[in-house]
Amino acid sequence: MHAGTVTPRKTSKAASLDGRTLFCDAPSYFGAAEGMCMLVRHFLRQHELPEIAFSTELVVRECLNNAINHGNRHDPRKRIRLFVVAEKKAVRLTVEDDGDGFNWQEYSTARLPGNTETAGRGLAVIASYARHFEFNRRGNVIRVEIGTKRGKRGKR
Amino acid sequence: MTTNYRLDRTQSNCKVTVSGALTAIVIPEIKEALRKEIQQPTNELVFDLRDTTMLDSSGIGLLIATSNTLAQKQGVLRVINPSHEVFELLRHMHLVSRLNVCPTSRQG
Repeated sequence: MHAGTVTPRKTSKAASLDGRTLFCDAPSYFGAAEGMCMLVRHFLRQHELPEIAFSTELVVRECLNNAINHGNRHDPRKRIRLFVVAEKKAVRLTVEDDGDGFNWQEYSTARLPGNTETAGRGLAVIASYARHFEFNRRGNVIRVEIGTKRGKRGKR
Repeated sequence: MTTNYRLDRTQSNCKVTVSGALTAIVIPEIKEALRKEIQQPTNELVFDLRDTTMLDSSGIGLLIATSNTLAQKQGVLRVINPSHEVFELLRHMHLVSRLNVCPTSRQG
């Protein structure tokens, strides 16, 4: 068992819990999310998952962006938490925010926004790269699985 | 990850070079720089993504917003030299044609 702690920002906490699991806890702003993404890149390199490095980092970014923008509504007193588990040919990740959640059943990830729309693609990106994804009932936790072969659109 | 961007203008054409990640944290600054830049007459604005390692939905939003603004002034946006991963992302979002993304040898 291996355990270690890395602190990318003074206000962030990160730990590799057992060598295959990364946990980060940070305040809700983009600078802290950037630090989390750096840790995820490093973590994926450690676990030799280059085939899904881009897709995993992209999905992490989209989940964190949603947590900051829509979940915690840019309130830096609220936190975002990220768990990443590396498996042999897949990554499972969970992002949780302190917000009220949202009614995810109302959102269709199958439909992309119009091509002049400047926002609203976050879930579509996640759906494109995830083998599977789901929200908790409240809508403040998303769990995503990314495989080494591009998966089908996720269940919600 | 450090992101650098550079704007080069030649008469009514402009080239934006982004090194690093074109993602949420850098969008406000680049957006403001572009807003000022395209106040000048601009026929064509090229995003050179040769050294862009990551693009997220916020970065895509910036590309579309810039394209929208240019279109109002009869200008056009092009995207050149995306990595294979960035090209695939834009393809999945059905934006290759919309953003005039030029496939290059980097797509493999």
